[in-house]
Amino acid sequence: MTLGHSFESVMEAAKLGADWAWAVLYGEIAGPVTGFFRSRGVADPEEAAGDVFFELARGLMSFEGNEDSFYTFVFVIAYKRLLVENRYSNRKLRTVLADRVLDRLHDDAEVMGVIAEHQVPEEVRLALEILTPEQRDVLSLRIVGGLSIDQVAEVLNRGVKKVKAVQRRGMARVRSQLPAETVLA
Amino acid sequence: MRSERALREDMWSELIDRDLDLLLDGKQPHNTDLAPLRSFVNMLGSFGATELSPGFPEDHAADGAAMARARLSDTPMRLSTGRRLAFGLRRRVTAAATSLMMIVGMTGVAWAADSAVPGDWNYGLDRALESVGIGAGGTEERLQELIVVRENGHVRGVSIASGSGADSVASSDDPVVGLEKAAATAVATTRGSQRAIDIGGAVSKLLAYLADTEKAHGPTISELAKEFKQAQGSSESNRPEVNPGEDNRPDHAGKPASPGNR
Repeated sequence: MTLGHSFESVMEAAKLGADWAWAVLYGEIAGPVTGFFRSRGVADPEEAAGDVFFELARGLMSFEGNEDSFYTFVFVIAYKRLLVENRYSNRKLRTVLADRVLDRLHDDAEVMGVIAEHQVPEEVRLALEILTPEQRDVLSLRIVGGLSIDQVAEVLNRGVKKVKAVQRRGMARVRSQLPAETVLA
Repeated sequence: MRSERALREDMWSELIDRDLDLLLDGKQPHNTDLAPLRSFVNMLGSFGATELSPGFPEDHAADGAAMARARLSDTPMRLSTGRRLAFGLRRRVTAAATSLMMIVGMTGVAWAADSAVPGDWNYGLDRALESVGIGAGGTEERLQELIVVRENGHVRGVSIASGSGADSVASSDDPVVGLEKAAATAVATTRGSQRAIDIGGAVSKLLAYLADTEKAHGPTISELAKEFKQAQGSSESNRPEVNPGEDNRPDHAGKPASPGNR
Protein backbone atom coordinates (compact mmCIF):
# COMPACT_ATOMS: atom_id res chain seq x y z
CA MET A 1 0.00 0.00 0.00
CA THR A 2 1.24 3.43 -0.77
CA LEU A 3 -1.36 5.73 0.69
CA GLY A 4 0.87 6.71 3.58
CA HIS A 5 -0.33 9.74 5.47
CA SER A 6 -3.49 10.01 3.41
CA PHE A 7 -4.67 6.57 4.53
CA GLU A 8 -6.54 7.87 7.56
CA SER A 9 -8.50 10.46 5.64
CA VAL A 10 -9.27 8.01 2.85
CA MET A 11 -10.52 5.48 5.38
CA GLU A 12 -12.65 8.09 7.11
CA ALA A 13 -14.17 9.17 3.80
CA ALA A 14 -14.78 5.54 2.81
CA LYS A 15 -16.72 4.95 6.02
CA LEU A 16 -18.86 7.97 5.16
CA GLY A 17 -19.58 6.48 1.75
CA ALA A 18 -17.42 8.66 -0.48
CA ASP A 19 -17.12 7.05 -3.89
CA TRP A 20 -13.66 8.47 -4.49
CA ALA A 21 -12.35 6.95 -1.26
CA TRP A 22 -13.61 3.48 -2.13
CA ALA A 23 -12.11 3.86 -5.60
CA VAL A 24 -8.76 4.72 -4.00
CA LEU A 25 -8.90 1.79 -1.59
CA TYR A 26 -9.94 -0.73 -4.20
CA GLY A 27 -7.47 0.73 -6.66
CA GLU A 28 -4.72 -0.08 -4.18
CA ILE A 29 -5.77 -3.61 -3.35
CA ALA A 30 -7.38 -4.85 -6.58
CA GLY A 31 -4.12 -5.86 -8.22
CA PRO A 32 -2.56 -7.71 -5.31
CA VAL A 33 -5.79 -9.44 -4.31
CA THR A 34 -6.64 -10.53 -7.83
CA GLY A 35 -3.03 -11.52 -8.38
CA PHE A 36 -3.06 -13.55 -5.21
CA PHE A 37 -6.07 -15.53 -6.42
CA ARG A 38 -4.54 -15.88 -9.85
CA SER A 39 -1.29 -17.16 -8.44
CA ARG A 40 -3.15 -19.73 -6.37
CA GLY A 41 -5.01 -21.09 -9.36
CA VAL A 42 -8.48 -19.73 -8.61
CA ALA A 43 -10.70 -20.22 -11.67
CA ASP A 44 -12.09 -16.69 -11.73
CA PRO A 45 -9.75 -14.41 -9.80
CA GLU A 46 -11.78 -11.26 -10.41
CA GLU A 47 -14.96 -12.86 -9.16
CA ALA A 48 -13.12 -14.00 -6.06
CA ALA A 49 -11.68 -10.51 -5.60
CA GLY A 50 -15.21 -9.13 -5.96
CA ASP A 51 -16.32 -11.38 -3.12
CA VAL A 52 -13.49 -10.02 -1.02
CA PHE A 53 -14.55 -6.46 -1.83
CA PHE A 54 -18.08 -7.24 -0.81
CA GLU A 55 -17.03 -8.71 2.52
CA LEU A 56 -14.67 -5.80 3.00
CA ALA A 57 -17.49 -3.34 2.41
CA ARG A 58 -19.53 -5.13 5.03
CA GLY A 59 -16.72 -5.14 7.52
CA LEU A 60 -15.06 -1.80 6.96
CA MET A 61 -17.26 0.11 9.38
CA SER A 62 -15.86 -1.92 12.23
CA PHE A 63 -12.28 -1.74 11.04
CA GLU A 64 -9.86 0.26 13.16
CA GLY A 65 -6.17 0.39 12.41
CA ASN A 66 -3.41 1.65 10.22
CA GLU A 67 -2.60 0.95 6.63
CA ASP A 68 -0.71 -2.25 7.37
CA SER A 69 -3.57 -3.53 9.49
CA PHE A 70 -5.97 -2.75 6.68
CA TYR A 71 -3.92 -4.72 4.21
CA THR A 72 -3.78 -7.64 6.63
CA PHE A 73 -7.54 -7.34 7.13
CA VAL A 74 -8.07 -7.54 3.37
CA PHE A 75 -5.91 -10.62 2.99
CA VAL A 76 -7.51 -12.38 5.92
CA ILE A 77 -10.74 -12.12 3.94
CA ALA A 78 -8.99 -13.15 0.74
CA TYR A 79 -7.41 -16.17 2.37
CA LYS A 80 -10.75 -17.32 3.76
CA ARG A 81 -12.20 -16.96 0.30
CA LEU A 82 -9.37 -19.09 -1.06
CA LEU A 83 -10.09 -21.77 1.51
CA VAL A 84 -13.73 -21.83 0.47
CA GLU A 85 -12.68 -22.17 -3.14
CA ASN A 86 -10.33 -25.01 -2.34
CA ARG A 87 -12.65 -26.82 -0.01
CA TYR A 88 -15.66 -26.95 -2.25
CA SER A 89 -14.14 -27.06 -5.64
CA ASN A 90 -14.45 -30.41 -7.35
CA ARG A 91 -11.37 -29.57 -9.27
CA LYS A 92 -8.07 -30.60 -7.90
CA LEU A 93 -5.92 -27.78 -6.71
CA ARG A 94 -4.43 -26.85 -9.98
CA THR A 95 -0.91 -25.94 -10.78
CA VAL A 96 -1.85 -22.87 -12.73
CA LEU A 97 0.80 -21.00 -10.86
CA ALA A 98 3.53 -23.09 -12.39
CA ASP A 99 1.96 -23.17 -15.83
CA ARG A 100 1.40 -19.45 -16.07
CA VAL A 101 4.77 -18.48 -14.78
CA LEU A 102 6.44 -20.80 -17.20
CA ASP A 103 4.26 -19.71 -20.11
CA ARG A 104 5.37 -16.21 -19.47
CA LEU A 105 8.96 -17.18 -19.29
CA HIS A 106 8.74 -19.15 -22.48
CA ASP A 107 6.51 -16.91 -24.55
CA ASP A 108 7.03 -13.41 -23.33
CA ALA A 109 10.53 -12.74 -22.28
CA GLU A 110 9.71 -9.05 -21.99
CA VAL A 111 7.58 -9.74 -18.97
CA MET A 112 10.73 -10.75 -17.27
CA GLY A 113 12.86 -8.29 -19.15
CA VAL A 114 15.93 -9.06 -17.17
CA ILE A 115 16.11 -12.62 -18.34
CA ALA A 116 15.52 -11.97 -22.01
CA GLU A 117 17.59 -14.24 -24.19
CA HIS A 118 17.79 -16.82 -21.47
CA GLN A 119 16.41 -20.21 -22.15
CA VAL A 120 14.04 -21.04 -19.35
CA PRO A 121 15.12 -24.15 -17.60
CA GLU A 122 12.72 -26.94 -17.01
CA GLU A 123 13.89 -26.85 -13.42
CA VAL A 124 11.79 -23.73 -12.84
CA ARG A 125 8.63 -25.63 -13.57
CA LEU A 126 9.71 -28.40 -11.28
CA ALA A 127 10.61 -25.89 -8.60
CA LEU A 128 7.11 -24.46 -8.59
CA GLU A 129 5.41 -27.78 -8.70
CA ILE A 130 7.27 -29.15 -5.74
CA LEU A 131 6.15 -26.36 -3.44
CA THR A 132 3.71 -27.49 -0.81
CA PRO A 133 0.36 -25.66 -0.58
CA GLU A 134 1.59 -24.05 2.61
CA GLN A 135 4.73 -22.79 0.91
CA ARG A 136 2.66 -21.45 -1.97
CA ASP A 137 0.41 -19.65 0.51
CA VAL A 138 3.33 -18.00 2.20
CA LEU A 139 5.22 -17.12 -0.96
CA SER A 140 2.11 -15.83 -2.74
CA LEU A 141 1.15 -13.64 0.20
CA ARG A 142 4.71 -12.40 0.56
CA ILE A 143 5.52 -11.81 -3.08
CA VAL A 144 2.19 -11.19 -4.83
CA GLY A 145 0.36 -9.70 -1.86
CA GLY A 146 3.38 -7.77 -0.70
CA LEU A 147 2.79 -8.66 2.93
CA SER A 148 5.48 -8.72 5.59
CA ILE A 149 6.29 -11.88 7.53
CA ASP A 150 4.27 -10.59 10.48
CA GLN A 151 1.27 -9.88 8.28
CA VAL A 152 1.46 -13.28 6.63
CA ALA A 153 1.61 -14.89 10.07
CA GLU A 154 -1.56 -13.04 11.03
CA VAL A 155 -3.38 -13.94 7.83
CA LEU A 156 -2.49 -17.61 8.14
CA ASN A 157 -2.92 -17.59 11.90
CA ARG A 158 0.55 -19.01 12.35
CA GLY A 159 3.57 -17.99 14.36
CA VAL A 160 6.16 -15.71 12.83
CA LYS A 161 8.90 -18.30 13.26
CA LYS A 162 6.82 -20.90 11.52
CA VAL A 163 6.12 -18.59 8.58
CA LYS A 164 9.79 -17.73 8.30
CA ALA A 165 10.67 -21.40 8.25
CA VAL A 166 8.08 -22.16 5.58
CA GLN A 167 9.35 -19.28 3.48
CA ARG A 168 12.93 -20.43 3.92
CA ARG A 169 12.14 -24.00 2.97
CA GLY A 170 10.01 -22.92 0.02
CA MET A 171 12.69 -20.66 -1.36
CA ALA A 172 15.30 -23.35 -0.77
CA ARG A 173 13.20 -25.75 -2.77
CA VAL A 174 12.83 -23.30 -5.61
CA ARG A 175 16.51 -22.49 -5.49
CA SER A 176 17.40 -26.13 -5.69
CA GLN A 177 15.65 -26.27 -9.05
CA LEU A 178 17.37 -23.26 -10.51
CA PRO A 179 20.72 -23.61 -12.18
CA ALA A 180 23.42 -21.07 -11.34
CA GLU A 181 23.40 -19.61 -14.85
CA THR A 182 19.98 -18.03 -14.33
CA VAL A 183 21.75 -15.37 -12.29
CA LEU A 184 20.51 -12.07 -13.56
CA ALA A 185 22.59 -9.24 -14.80
CA MET B 1 21.72 -25.58 26.96
CA ARG B 2 21.71 -25.51 23.22
CA SER B 3 24.47 -27.12 21.28
CA GLU B 4 26.90 -25.10 19.24
CA ARG B 5 25.54 -26.72 16.12
CA ALA B 6 21.99 -25.63 16.91
CA LEU B 7 23.14 -22.09 17.54
CA ARG B 8 25.03 -22.09 14.27
CA GLU B 9 21.92 -23.30 12.46
CA ASP B 10 19.87 -20.55 14.06
CA MET B 11 22.39 -17.97 12.96
CA TRP B 12 22.39 -19.36 9.46
CA SER B 13 18.58 -19.25 9.36
CA GLU B 14 18.63 -15.69 10.56
CA LEU B 15 21.08 -14.68 7.87
CA ILE B 16 19.09 -16.44 5.18
CA ASP B 17 15.88 -14.77 6.38
CA ARG B 18 17.53 -11.36 6.15
CA ASP B 19 18.79 -12.11 2.69
CA LEU B 20 15.35 -13.28 1.61
CA ASP B 21 13.89 -10.05 2.93
CA LEU B 22 16.41 -8.12 0.86
CA LEU B 23 15.53 -10.20 -2.16
CA LEU B 24 11.80 -9.64 -1.73
CA ASP B 25 12.42 -5.92 -1.34
CA GLY B 26 14.17 -5.92 -4.72
CA LYS B 27 17.62 -5.55 -3.21
CA GLN B 28 20.74 -7.59 -3.70
CA PRO B 29 21.12 -10.39 -1.16
CA HIS B 30 24.50 -10.81 0.48
CA ASN B 31 24.50 -14.47 -0.28
CA THR B 32 25.06 -14.64 -4.03
CA ASP B 33 23.73 -18.17 -4.10
CA LEU B 34 20.25 -16.70 -3.61
CA ALA B 35 20.52 -14.37 -6.60
CA PRO B 36 18.88 -16.78 -9.06
CA LEU B 37 15.74 -16.60 -6.95
CA ARG B 38 15.20 -13.06 -8.20
CA SER B 39 13.74 -14.41 -11.44
CA PHE B 40 11.27 -16.45 -9.45
CA VAL B 41 10.35 -13.46 -7.28
CA ASN B 42 9.88 -11.27 -10.34
CA MET B 43 7.71 -13.83 -12.06
CA LEU B 44 5.50 -14.38 -9.08
CA GLY B 45 5.32 -10.66 -8.34
CA SER B 46 4.10 -9.97 -11.85
CA PHE B 47 0.79 -11.67 -10.96
CA GLY B 48 -0.07 -8.66 -8.84
CA ALA B 49 0.53 -6.28 -11.71
CA THR B 50 -1.57 -7.92 -14.39
CA GLU B 51 -4.28 -5.88 -16.05
CA LEU B 52 -7.80 -6.03 -14.70
CA SER B 53 -11.02 -6.02 -16.70
CA PRO B 54 -12.40 -2.59 -17.64
CA GLY B 55 -14.64 -1.25 -14.91
CA PHE B 56 -13.06 -3.46 -12.30
CA PRO B 57 -12.70 -2.45 -9.51
CA GLU B 58 -14.68 0.77 -10.12
CA ASP B 59 -18.01 -1.06 -10.05
CA HIS B 60 -17.15 -2.67 -6.75
CA ALA B 61 -16.00 0.66 -5.35
CA ALA B 62 -19.41 2.11 -6.16
CA ASP B 63 -21.05 -0.81 -4.36
CA GLY B 64 -18.83 -0.36 -1.34
CA ALA B 65 -19.61 3.32 -1.13
CA ALA B 66 -23.34 2.59 -1.49
CA MET B 67 -23.18 0.06 1.34
CA ALA B 68 -21.38 2.53 3.59
CA ARG B 69 -23.95 5.25 2.86
CA ALA B 70 -26.81 2.85 3.44
CA ARG B 71 -25.40 2.00 6.85
CA LEU B 72 -25.39 5.66 7.74
CA SER B 73 -28.88 6.44 6.52
CA ASP B 74 -32.33 4.92 6.36
CA THR B 75 -32.06 4.46 2.63
CA PRO B 76 -32.35 0.84 1.60
CA MET B 77 -29.23 -0.23 -0.18
CA ARG B 78 -29.28 -1.15 -3.83
CA LEU B 79 -26.30 -3.00 -5.15
CA SER B 80 -25.49 -3.01 -8.82
CA THR B 81 -24.88 -6.72 -8.68
CA GLY B 82 -26.39 -9.52 -6.62
CA ARG B 83 -23.32 -9.88 -4.51
CA ARG B 84 -25.08 -11.36 -1.52
CA LEU B 85 -25.26 -14.59 -3.42
CA ALA B 86 -21.89 -14.30 -5.02
CA PHE B 87 -20.58 -17.58 -3.75
CA GLY B 88 -21.68 -20.52 -5.86
CA LEU B 89 -21.65 -22.57 -2.71
CA ARG B 90 -24.10 -20.25 -1.04
CA ARG B 91 -26.46 -20.67 -3.94
CA ARG B 92 -26.32 -24.44 -3.60
CA VAL B 93 -26.77 -24.39 0.14
CA THR B 94 -29.60 -21.89 -0.21
CA ALA B 95 -31.42 -24.16 -2.62
CA ALA B 96 -30.91 -27.15 -0.36
CA ALA B 97 -31.96 -25.31 2.77
CA THR B 98 -35.00 -23.73 1.14
CA SER B 99 -36.21 -27.04 -0.25
CA LEU B 100 -35.84 -28.70 3.08
CA MET B 101 -37.53 -25.86 4.87
CA MET B 102 -40.52 -26.13 2.58
CA ILE B 103 -40.74 -29.90 2.67
CA VAL B 104 -40.44 -30.45 6.36
CA GLY B 105 -42.40 -27.40 7.37
CA MET B 106 -39.57 -25.67 9.09
CA THR B 107 -40.27 -22.21 7.73
CA GLY B 108 -41.54 -21.21 11.11
CA VAL B 109 -38.03 -21.56 12.40
CA ALA B 110 -36.64 -19.38 9.65
CA TRP B 111 -39.26 -16.75 10.28
CA ALA B 112 -38.74 -16.81 14.00
CA ALA B 113 -35.04 -16.36 13.50
CA ASP B 114 -35.51 -13.71 10.85
CA SER B 115 -37.16 -11.36 13.29
CA ALA B 116 -34.45 -11.79 15.91
CA VAL B 117 -32.26 -8.94 17.08
CA PRO B 118 -28.82 -9.03 18.68
CA GLY B 119 -29.11 -10.53 22.13
CA ASP B 120 -31.93 -12.89 21.16
CA TRP B 121 -31.14 -16.58 21.41
CA ASN B 122 -31.82 -17.10 17.73
CA TYR B 123 -29.97 -14.05 16.41
CA GLY B 124 -26.99 -16.15 15.34
CA LEU B 125 -29.32 -18.40 13.40
CA ASP B 126 -30.87 -15.34 11.76
CA ARG B 127 -27.48 -14.18 10.55
CA ALA B 128 -26.50 -17.63 9.40
CA LEU B 129 -29.71 -18.08 7.44
CA GLU B 130 -29.19 -14.69 5.86
CA SER B 131 -25.70 -15.66 4.88
CA VAL B 132 -27.12 -18.37 2.66
CA GLY B 133 -29.93 -16.19 1.37
CA ILE B 134 -32.80 -17.18 3.66
CA GLY B 135 -34.51 -14.30 5.37
CA ALA B 136 -34.43 -10.71 4.30
CA GLY B 137 -31.15 -9.60 5.80
CA GLY B 138 -29.39 -6.65 4.30
CA THR B 139 -28.77 -3.20 5.58
CA GLU B 140 -32.38 -2.40 6.22
CA GLU B 141 -32.77 -5.30 8.59
CA ARG B 142 -29.48 -4.50 10.28
CA LEU B 143 -30.62 -0.91 10.83
CA GLN B 144 -34.00 -2.01 12.11
CA GLU B 145 -32.26 -4.37 14.50
CA LEU B 146 -30.06 -1.60 15.77
CA ILE B 147 -33.06 0.63 16.35
CA VAL B 148 -34.85 -2.08 18.30
CA VAL B 149 -31.78 -2.96 20.27
CA ARG B 150 -31.02 0.65 21.11
CA GLU B 151 -34.59 1.29 22.22
CA ASN B 152 -34.36 -1.73 24.46
CA GLY B 153 -31.20 -0.34 25.99
CA HIS B 154 -29.43 -3.54 25.03
CA VAL B 155 -25.86 -2.28 25.00
CA ARG B 156 -24.19 -5.58 24.20
CA GLY B 157 -26.58 -6.12 21.34
CA VAL B 158 -25.62 -2.79 19.79
CA SER B 159 -22.02 -3.82 20.05
CA ILE B 160 -22.73 -7.15 18.38
CA ALA B 161 -24.76 -5.57 15.62
CA SER B 162 -22.29 -2.82 14.90
CA GLY B 163 -19.54 -5.43 14.74
CA SER B 164 -21.34 -7.29 12.02
CA GLY B 165 -18.43 -6.78 9.66
CA ALA B 166 -16.10 -8.92 11.65
CA ASP B 167 -18.96 -11.32 12.14
CA SER B 168 -19.44 -11.66 8.44
CA VAL B 169 -15.76 -12.23 7.93
CA ALA B 170 -15.78 -14.99 10.45
CA SER B 171 -18.75 -16.68 8.85
CA SER B 172 -17.72 -16.12 5.28
CA ASP B 173 -15.54 -19.16 4.93
CA ASP B 174 -18.19 -21.81 5.09
CA PRO B 175 -21.94 -21.24 5.16
CA VAL B 176 -22.65 -24.80 6.25
CA VAL B 177 -20.27 -24.54 9.15
CA GLY B 178 -21.79 -21.16 9.93
CA LEU B 179 -25.24 -22.73 10.04
CA GLU B 180 -24.03 -25.53 12.26
CA LYS B 181 -22.43 -23.08 14.64
CA ALA B 182 -25.60 -21.01 14.70
CA ALA B 183 -27.68 -24.07 15.52
CA ALA B 184 -25.25 -25.03 18.24
CA THR B 185 -25.50 -21.53 19.65
CA ALA B 186 -29.26 -21.67 19.49
CA VAL B 187 -29.36 -24.97 21.31
CA ALA B 188 -26.88 -23.78 23.91
CA THR B 189 -28.87 -20.66 24.65
CA THR B 190 -32.35 -22.17 24.83
CA ARG B 191 -32.32 -23.53 28.33
CA GLY B 192 -35.45 -21.70 29.34
CA SER B 193 -38.34 -22.92 27.28
CA GLN B 194 -39.42 -26.23 25.80
CA ARG B 195 -40.49 -24.46 22.63
CA ALA B 196 -37.05 -23.01 22.13
CA ILE B 197 -35.43 -26.36 22.82
CA ASP B 198 -37.67 -28.01 20.24
CA ILE B 199 -36.75 -25.41 17.67
CA GLY B 200 -33.09 -25.65 18.47
CA GLY B 201 -33.13 -29.43 18.19
CA ALA B 202 -34.98 -29.40 14.90
CA VAL B 203 -32.70 -26.81 13.42
CA SER B 204 -29.69 -28.70 14.62
CA LYS B 205 -30.87 -31.85 12.85
CA LEU B 206 -31.65 -29.96 9.68
CA LEU B 207 -28.25 -28.38 9.61
CA ALA B 208 -26.51 -31.64 10.33
CA TYR B 209 -28.26 -33.11 7.30
CA LEU B 210 -27.24 -30.18 5.16
CA ALA B 211 -23.68 -30.41 6.32
CA ASP B 212 -23.50 -34.14 5.66
CA THR B 213 -24.93 -33.72 2.21
CA GLU B 214 -22.49 -31.03 1.31
CA LYS B 215 -19.56 -32.99 2.61
CA ALA B 216 -20.49 -36.30 1.15
CA HIS B 217 -21.89 -34.99 -2.16
CA GLY B 218 -24.35 -37.76 -1.48
CA PRO B 219 -28.11 -37.97 -1.83
CA THR B 220 -30.23 -35.59 -3.82
CA ILE B 221 -32.32 -33.01 -2.07
CA SER B 222 -35.53 -35.02 -2.42
CA GLU B 223 -33.98 -38.14 -0.96
CA LEU B 224 -32.49 -36.06 1.72
CA ALA B 225 -35.81 -34.47 2.53
CA LYS B 226 -37.45 -37.90 2.71
CA GLU B 227 -34.82 -39.11 5.09
CA PHE B 228 -35.12 -36.04 7.18
CA LYS B 229 -38.88 -36.27 7.29
CA GLN B 230 -38.69 -39.85 8.47
CA ALA B 231 -36.19 -38.92 11.11
CA GLN B 232 -38.27 -36.04 12.29
CA GLY B 233 -41.64 -37.79 12.25
CA SER B 234 -44.45 -35.33 11.75
CA SER B 235 -43.15 -32.04 10.55
CA GLU B 236 -45.94 -30.23 12.32
CA SER B 237 -44.68 -31.33 15.69
CA ASN B 238 -41.54 -29.34 15.08
CA ARG B 239 -43.23 -26.13 14.20
CA PRO B 240 -42.67 -23.50 16.82
CA GLU B 241 -45.67 -22.30 18.72
CA VAL B 242 -45.66 -18.60 19.13
CA ASN B 243 -42.68 -16.39 18.88
CA PRO B 244 -42.43 -13.66 21.51
CA GLY B 245 -43.80 -10.54 19.93
CA GLU B 246 -45.96 -12.45 17.46
CA ASP B 247 -48.79 -9.98 17.83
CA ASN B 248 -46.49 -7.40 16.39
CA ARG B 249 -45.26 -9.59 13.59
CA PRO B 250 -44.05 -7.35 10.77
CA ASP B 251 -45.84 -7.13 7.46
CA HIS B 252 -42.88 -8.46 5.56
CA ALA B 253 -39.86 -10.50 6.44
CA GLY B 254 -36.83 -8.59 7.45
CA LYS B 255 -38.42 -6.16 9.88
CA PRO B 256 -38.20 -7.21 13.47
CA ALA B 257 -41.10 -6.92 15.80
CA SER B 258 -41.44 -3.80 17.85
CA PRO B 259 -39.11 -3.24 20.78
CA GLY B 260 -41.65 -3.79 23.47
CA ASN B 261 -42.19 -7.37 22.48
CA ARG B 262 -38.67 -8.72 22.74
